[in-house]
Order: sequence, then structure tokens, then C-alpha cells
Amino acid sequence: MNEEAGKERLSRLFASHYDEVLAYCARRVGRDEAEGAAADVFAVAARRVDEIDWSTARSWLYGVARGVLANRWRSIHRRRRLLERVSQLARVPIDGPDQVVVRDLEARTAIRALHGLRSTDREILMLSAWEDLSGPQIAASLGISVAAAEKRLERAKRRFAVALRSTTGASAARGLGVEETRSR
Amino acid sequence: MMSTETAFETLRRVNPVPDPAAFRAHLEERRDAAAATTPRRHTMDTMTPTTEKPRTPPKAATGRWIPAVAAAAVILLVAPFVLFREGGPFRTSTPTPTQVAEAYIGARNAYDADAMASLFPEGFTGRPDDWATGLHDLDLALEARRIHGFETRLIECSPIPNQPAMVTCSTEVQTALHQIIGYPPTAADFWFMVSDEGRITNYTDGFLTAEVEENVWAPFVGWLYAEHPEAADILQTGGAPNLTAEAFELTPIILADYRDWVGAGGYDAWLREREG
Repeated sequence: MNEEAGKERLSRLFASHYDEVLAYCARRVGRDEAEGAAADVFAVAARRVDEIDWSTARSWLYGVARGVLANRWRSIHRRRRLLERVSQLARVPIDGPDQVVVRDLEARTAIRALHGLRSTDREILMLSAWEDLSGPQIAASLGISVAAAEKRLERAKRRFAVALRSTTGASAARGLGVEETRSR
Repeated sequence: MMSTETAFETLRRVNPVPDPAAFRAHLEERRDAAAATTPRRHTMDTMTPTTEKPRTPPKAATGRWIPAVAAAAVILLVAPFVLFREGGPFRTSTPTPTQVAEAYIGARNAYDADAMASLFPEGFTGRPDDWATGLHDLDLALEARRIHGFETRLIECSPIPNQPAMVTCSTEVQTALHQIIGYPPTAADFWFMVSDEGRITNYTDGFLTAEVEENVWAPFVGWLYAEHPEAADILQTGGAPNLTAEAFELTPIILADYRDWVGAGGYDAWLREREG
């Protein structure tokens, strides 16, 4: 592929998928780091533009993004904390105050449950729920078979449901404990 | 009982970035707003009119140059003073051990993990703070210090005679526990070993003295285990705070309860009992 064709291809890739890659990064490391990470992803894409299969480009970019983020954040503690920070991002469009309170509580509980899972479960759930990838797209992103991706996703969903029930119960119990203490 | 699909729908609903295009527009607006508040130094003679904002990678954004130019200007203005103060115009700009130590205390007091981490050599494997296990969780350790109300007032840093790489700093440290019981700030000494490159290679914090343990921690720990034994394991392990979201959330609640207990005369009673 000549240089002009490569540039054209990269521009199309950028126009089609930059927003999604930026959002992928923001969901995992927070908005302050997301732009730098997304730029790193497209720097890799620029070097390997000839190898990209257009039909699976988005999944391929998410795979690159996963590697970029892993290099940026070696510490699991830090990643967890940043994920929590992401949950505090302003949402667009902005909800009314009551909805924000309810959603924040829901988001904190759900994200805490998500934290409790293994990283492989967490990633496949986020690819499905937040990146809205189909089974074949998840398989392409993770480099596994479609059957394996679907099986893993089902297992991860079940584990998440168990974790969410347990986290919701623990939060409610702790809230009750606090109220009892206050009324003493 | 929540079903698997209901739980998954909950996860979908709490997507932190539900609309990628709107999110990107939000970031660009924020950057444009920041650029607009920076005074323009020169009038531009020509402008290229554009009808549509070009979609370029963020690293190419002109707004990114503004902090760099401002930083360069500050360095150019300040560097001569620093060079002359440190003994003449021919010294290098490597900070002195005293300056490094002062910067450490400043970063700790500002809970600024990035500033503090930049004072250590790359690949530093020791503890950059007593509550951190390494550079990777320094931000969590400083967040814990913020939640626990740590304030470190620098009194003086001075080199140790005949030990050019070593500096000691005297400070006064106050915590939320000090404030709640009305205990005065505790004197604490820090020691640093600084390399020729101006990086901290060793650090010791002399805050946890017997005085603090007996007068500030003991009443709190006694109260905690009596009133909230279930919270103790969430908050700390072996005397060091747990750097977890759960501990961070719970700490202010526990401190508020402790404040209530002290306000109701619990601490005075504890003092009377101790003094016999």
C-alpha cells in the first residue's frame, strides 16, 4: 500500500472509530488519561495500518487499547480506583437531581460489584455492556473463538449478578448499621 | 431476587460514557474554554476561516502548547535566581537535597501524588510514603492521608553536617484525630537521602511517636474496637490504613461518630480513667 493510500485509510479509521476508542479508554482509566491513551492507540494503528481488516477494525482497536492501557496502568489498585473515578463522570445529557442521586448510587454499587470480579470477567462484561460488541466482535477483540466468547460472557454475567446481589445487600446492611449508631 | 439479565441491564445503564460522540464534544468544549481564558499575547495577522472543526488527533491540539509555553516562560524567569542562590551561575540546575526535601513535604501537604512520585528515581522500589507500598499506590496513600486529615506544616529543612546527601526536615503534623480531641500538632522529623541527580533514594517519617500512639491513637482505637469492631478490619490492617474504596468511604462516617463520642464526653472519661 502506498503512503497516500495508507494516510487515507488511517483518516477513515480515525473518523469512524476515534470517539469509540476514546470512550473505551475513558471507561477504564478516566477522562484525564483517555485522550493520551486514545492517541497511543492510533499511533499503533498508524504503524500497522496495512494489517487492519476493515470488517473487524473496531474490535482490533479495542484489543490495541487494552494493551496500551495495560502498559499505562500496571497496578491493579490504581486501575480499580480510576474505574471508580470514571463512575463519577458527568453524564450527557444531564439528568435531574433525583435521577442523578439514584443513578450514582446504582452506579457505585454496580461498579463495586464489577471490581470484585476477575479481570477477564470484567473485561468481557464491559465489552458487551458498555462497548456494545456482539459475540463475534468480542471474540475478535480478545483473540478467542466465538463459542468461547459467548460461553465466557454468560459465565461472567452470572458471576456479576451474584456479586451485585451481594454488594447491594452489604451496602444496605452497612447503611442500617450507620443509622443505628447515629440514633444511639 | 435479581436475575442475571436484570443485573446485566443495570451494568448497561451505569455506562460511564453512554454517548462517545457527546463525550468527545464535551472534552473539546472543555479544552476550548480553557484556551479561551488564556490571554492572547499577540494579534494574529491572518486567520484561516474554517466552516467545520477539523477532526484531528488530540495530541495535535494547539491548546496543549499553552501549558508548555507557560512552563518554559516560568523556567526562564526563575532559573537565574535558583542558580545564583545555590552558589553561582556555573552550578547545574539539579535541585539541592534541601530543595528536594522541601518539595516532598509540599507535595505531601498538597496530597499531590504525581509531584511526589517525580521526586523519586524511576523504578524506585522502596516506600515513598509510610502508607504506600510503592510508587504505584502512592495516590491511594495520599488520598487516605487527605481523608484522615493529615496536614504537615514545614518548619525547616537542613542538611546534615558531613553528610551531603542527607537532609532532615522538622515539621508539625496534625490529623483529624488530633483536631477532634483538641490535641496540638505533633512535632515530626523527616529524613531523606538524595542522589546526585536530585532524586530521593531513601526516606523515613518520624511521625508515629510514642506520644502520638498514647495520646491520639489509643483513645480512637479503644473506641473503635468497642463501638465498631466490624469496621476495624475494613479500615486498617496491622495499624496501617487499608487503601480501598470501602475504607475511604467508611472513614469519614467513623470519624463523624468518633467526633460525636468525644463531644458527648467520651474522651474526657477515657482520660480520667487512664489517669486513674
